[in-house]
Amino acid sequence: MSECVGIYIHIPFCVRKCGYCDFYSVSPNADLLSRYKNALLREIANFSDGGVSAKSGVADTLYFGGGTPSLFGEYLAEVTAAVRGRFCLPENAEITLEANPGVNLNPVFEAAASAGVNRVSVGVQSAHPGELDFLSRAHSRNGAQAAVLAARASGIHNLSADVMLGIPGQTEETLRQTLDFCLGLDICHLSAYILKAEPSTPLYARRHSLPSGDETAELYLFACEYLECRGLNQYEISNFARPGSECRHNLKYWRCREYIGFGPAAHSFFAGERFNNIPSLDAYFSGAPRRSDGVCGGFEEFTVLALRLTRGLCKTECERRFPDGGERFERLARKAEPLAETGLVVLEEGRIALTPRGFLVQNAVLGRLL
Amino acid sequence: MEYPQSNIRNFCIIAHIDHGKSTLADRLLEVTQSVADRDMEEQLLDSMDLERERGITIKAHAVTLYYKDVDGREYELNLIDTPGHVDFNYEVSRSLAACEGAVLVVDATQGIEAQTLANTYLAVDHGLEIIPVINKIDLPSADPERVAEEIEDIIGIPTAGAPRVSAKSGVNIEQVLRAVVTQIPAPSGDAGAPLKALVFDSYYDAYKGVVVLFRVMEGKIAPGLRIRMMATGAEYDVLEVGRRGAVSIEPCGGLTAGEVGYLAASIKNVADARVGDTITAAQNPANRPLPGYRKVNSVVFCGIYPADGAKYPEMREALEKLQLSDASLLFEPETSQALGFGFRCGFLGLLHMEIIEERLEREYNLDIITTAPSVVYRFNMTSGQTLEVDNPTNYPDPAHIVTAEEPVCDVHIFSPSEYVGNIMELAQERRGVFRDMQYTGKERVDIHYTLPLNEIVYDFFDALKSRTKGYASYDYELKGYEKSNLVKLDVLLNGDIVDALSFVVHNDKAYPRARRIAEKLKDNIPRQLFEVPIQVAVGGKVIARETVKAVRKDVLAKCYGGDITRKKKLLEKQKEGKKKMRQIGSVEVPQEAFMAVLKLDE
Repeated sequence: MSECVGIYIHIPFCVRKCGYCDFYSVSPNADLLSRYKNALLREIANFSDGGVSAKSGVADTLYFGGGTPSLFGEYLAEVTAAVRGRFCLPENAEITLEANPGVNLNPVFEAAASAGVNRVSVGVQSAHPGELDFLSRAHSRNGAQAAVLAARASGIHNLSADVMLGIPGQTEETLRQTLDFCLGLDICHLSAYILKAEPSTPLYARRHSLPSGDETAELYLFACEYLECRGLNQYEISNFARPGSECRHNLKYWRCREYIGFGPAAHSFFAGERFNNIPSLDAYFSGAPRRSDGVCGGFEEFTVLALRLTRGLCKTECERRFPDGGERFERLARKAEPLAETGLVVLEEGRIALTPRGFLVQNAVLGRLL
Repeated sequence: MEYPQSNIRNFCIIAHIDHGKSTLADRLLEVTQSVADRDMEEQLLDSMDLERERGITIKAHAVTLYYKDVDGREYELNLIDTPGHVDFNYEVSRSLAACEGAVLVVDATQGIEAQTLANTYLAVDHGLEIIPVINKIDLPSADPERVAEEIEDIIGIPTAGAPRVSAKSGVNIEQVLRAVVTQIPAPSGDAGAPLKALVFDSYYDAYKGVVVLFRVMEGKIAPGLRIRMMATGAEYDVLEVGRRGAVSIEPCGGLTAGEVGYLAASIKNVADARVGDTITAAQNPANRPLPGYRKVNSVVFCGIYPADGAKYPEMREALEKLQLSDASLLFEPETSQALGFGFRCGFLGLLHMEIIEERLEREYNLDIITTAPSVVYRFNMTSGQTLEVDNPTNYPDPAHIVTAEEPVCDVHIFSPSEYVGNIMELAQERRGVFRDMQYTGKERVDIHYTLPLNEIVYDFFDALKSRTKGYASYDYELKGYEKSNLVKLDVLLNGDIVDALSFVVHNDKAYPRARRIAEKLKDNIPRQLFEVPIQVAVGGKVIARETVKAVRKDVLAKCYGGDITRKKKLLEKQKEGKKKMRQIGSVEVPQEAFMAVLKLDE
């Protein structure tokens, strides 16, 4: 299993840009979508592993992220075929499509299902009209419901919902309504992201309207507990799943496994290096080379990512990956002791992990440990 | 050329900061053609960057000028430039003792200030002839008549023939020189008597060793002579004697009674040629040294620590170098649990302290943390012993203290009369005892208070400036010790005492100051992973407390699409920030927190 890579394909198109989003995307048109498809096919076919290929060339996860991948329905089959042409996609590969509700998604999911997509992540964000308004989302509560039903109707049952925490005006009550709404749709996975005002977004100008850190912290802790009680177990800072339904693709990021990203702004970790494509369609069309993310693969990076997971950092894994991993693990464990006393960290034999309260201050915890 | 005593004049210039002392000195050098035009630069005598920038003189200087008057008589003029600040009072008094006259420069737009008056009185005490000079007459707001009147009223010297000049534009400078040669008496002193020369400054030169500046009072001094420093008893062979020109030194065959010059004698340490000491000949020495020598004591102390603990050796080296030219700087190693390795430093006063701190930062590029300045407290103990304590860490067990004493000062505050109310309020807050008040002009007053020194070192000047819009000046003189009800305040972070933040205050001040410190620390300590109680205690009793709440949210919630670059940048930033923190127990305290508690009045 550890020898398989993950494939990420970025679909950089959005009909409208949400006020909080700083991912790379542009406005689509038919011509652009088709040109983009061709460019993607080229990049995938030409992907060179420089002789140090993922050992068996097996890709056990494929993820269409964005942007709005659901705008790309008509080309999903072709692109998936290209991936199959370059990598071996086993029968049980996890193939995810992100979808934004608000339009008729039936044909998209039909096409997706026949292309092999078996997991859909729906951008629900909130079940509360006022909160959706604030986020300038194009859909309603009913739209989100329709999207989930449409996915299931086309035979896709591994379903996830994205929700947002820390929206102005959000209370434990409205958050509970949103979580109940998602649970009512019988999804098996949920991502709950804390809304953050990135400097390059319109939301930044209104950042002072966001709830305080303390208020957001309360919402977060509430969500963790509420979901846990209803069978969606936290497995990462922002991710919850029924047992066995964790997103295998995203787990690769946090476990420092290999993945290859295609499309502008896509990141890769492959053959011991991290690199990315320039976030520009023009650059992408003109075949701009990938850029290095700089030094990578070290113990710190491994720790930073592992401590996003509830299972945390394991000594055995440290030992396997790094010659001095065992020692470094023990050093971290000693530094973590006072944090364990305050309930931010769980210290067990051979394992360091953060509690939900610890996750909330992960940056500060890492600052102390590293 | 050798000048007879009758054609020598030794004088200094007394002026308040910014009243134009250095500019006038520049003009005198120009008019006497002591400096070629191409070598002229502003504040020529103030060679330190810090002196030029702050417009102050820190070190004494001496320069020999040659002046030919209208009748063709030639004079050797020795101008001794003195530091004007009260911290260097002793140095000033030694410089004055080397002169027969003083040029008193007063700003025609301002009038007499506290500092000027103090130094003028000092000069009068030394029997110097005072030549008043009214400067800045070219400014639109100049009122030379009023200022002349003020000089007559306050100092009691006639101003009828006083030169009215503009040092800046070079108006009437010649008049100053004429007054110097006609009004200041020529030096006297028997050139045949045993050598007595007064040391009024010394500095370290990388090539010559210590260079001593002196005035020959009696006898003569020449290269080859074996000399003895009368206070220390140390003996040296004189290697070089000469006069100091404005831009270069002029070695000569010898100097005789009445003259001013320098010598080099392979002296390794400025402490061996202390200001005020008397130089005599080892053979045929003088019976008695010149009067007035004393070893100056530090009055203000503080801990100075490198912000980066690894810079400790650099800091020691820097202090050693500074001490080479400044025998009044004291330091010894000190260890603080909070700040690590550093130095306990003693200073002549607040300005001296500031100057050393600034020079460490600028000339030696050191990032420093200083602890609150302390004065020397005296404790009469039950054992009958008297303890002198300059470091709150050494504060004795209160149970064993019979009485405590603190140093008090005579303080004169000069100000426009409209600020009298504000000044009195400030002085009251600082436990001042009112002595008297005099009008020194139509709208100017001299307010006299007795104030504890620990209230003065504690940000007094900044507070005075802010309450008088910068118009007031002050001067203080240590008067002695008085009984006082003192307590030591300890700051506890998360239950641990932070030794570097402890300080001694009067009991009446304990509560308000404790509260203020707690608030300041709360504002300056960032939220941490757990709640941090801040307590200020007297003895074991907590009298103020605040809490730094625990940080609740500090997380990058979305680490998506495999882009971990953002996470990495965040971590780098965090590490940078951590470098600027001091770990005290389990609490991370930024440097600013230490600084902030030094300025509680803001």
